[in-house]
Amino acid sequence: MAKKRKKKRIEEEAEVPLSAMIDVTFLLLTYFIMTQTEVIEEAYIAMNMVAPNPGPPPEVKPTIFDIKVFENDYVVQGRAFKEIDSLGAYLANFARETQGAEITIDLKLQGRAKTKRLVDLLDILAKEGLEKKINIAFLQ
Amino acid sequence: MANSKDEKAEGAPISSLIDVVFLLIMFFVATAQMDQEGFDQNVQLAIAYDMEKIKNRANGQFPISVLKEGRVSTGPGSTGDIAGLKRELMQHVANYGDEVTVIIRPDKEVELSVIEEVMSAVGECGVAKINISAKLEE
Repeated sequence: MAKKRKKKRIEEEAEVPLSAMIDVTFLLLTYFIMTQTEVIEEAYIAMNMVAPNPGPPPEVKPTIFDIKVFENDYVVQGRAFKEIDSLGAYLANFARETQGAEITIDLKLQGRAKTKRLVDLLDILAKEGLEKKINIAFLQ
Repeated sequence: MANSKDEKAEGAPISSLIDVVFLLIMFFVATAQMDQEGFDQNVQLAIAYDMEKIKNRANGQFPISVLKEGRVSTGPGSTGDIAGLKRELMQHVANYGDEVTVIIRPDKEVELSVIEEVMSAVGECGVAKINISAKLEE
């Protein structure tokens, strides 16, 4: 009888301490919920810096399209656009006309302009498939 | 004696509760952004709709976050200035060579003159592959 009681006591002592484990588990859960952040999907566009001493010109000259980004407007081939939508329509038309041609976009950026203006432009270039070769330089 | 058995039977289903909690923990661990080092979440990226999505983050990638106040961040411990950025990028170039691609993550309100400084520093470190990043909205 005494042996049986002893065996039972040992079995009881060997049980996993569930309540402590649950506490730790809930702490972990709370930590992960608190530190959870929204996953931001990012996109990118590649560009080339204009080299100070460019090499020899290529045999086949690509069509170079010149776009300047200012604080308040964009200037494309000498034509100013205040609104991004009108610039988008112009570039869509240009992309249709030059379909299949090798286009190099020369971007010239004004230092005072905000980054958002550049990203808006890059997004339109990507939409129209004109983002293959973009050179970037800054206006002094 | 019978009373004790009934009490046991009516107890809360602890084991299934733990299963659920562990499943939740596994979900949060799996989705935790462990690979976000250098991708400073304080940057308010400009929104793009048609730019190419960044699918995977290769070893050679070197993200540079440009914060609203003009500070640059390359991850925890970053000094925030251009000199520190150059030092870190040089080290990265020494490790990865031609594989290095810089991803500039500018805040949408940052002036492009700051981006010019960053790009010049990147050029001085001998890196030619530069990407500009934006938040993708689909």
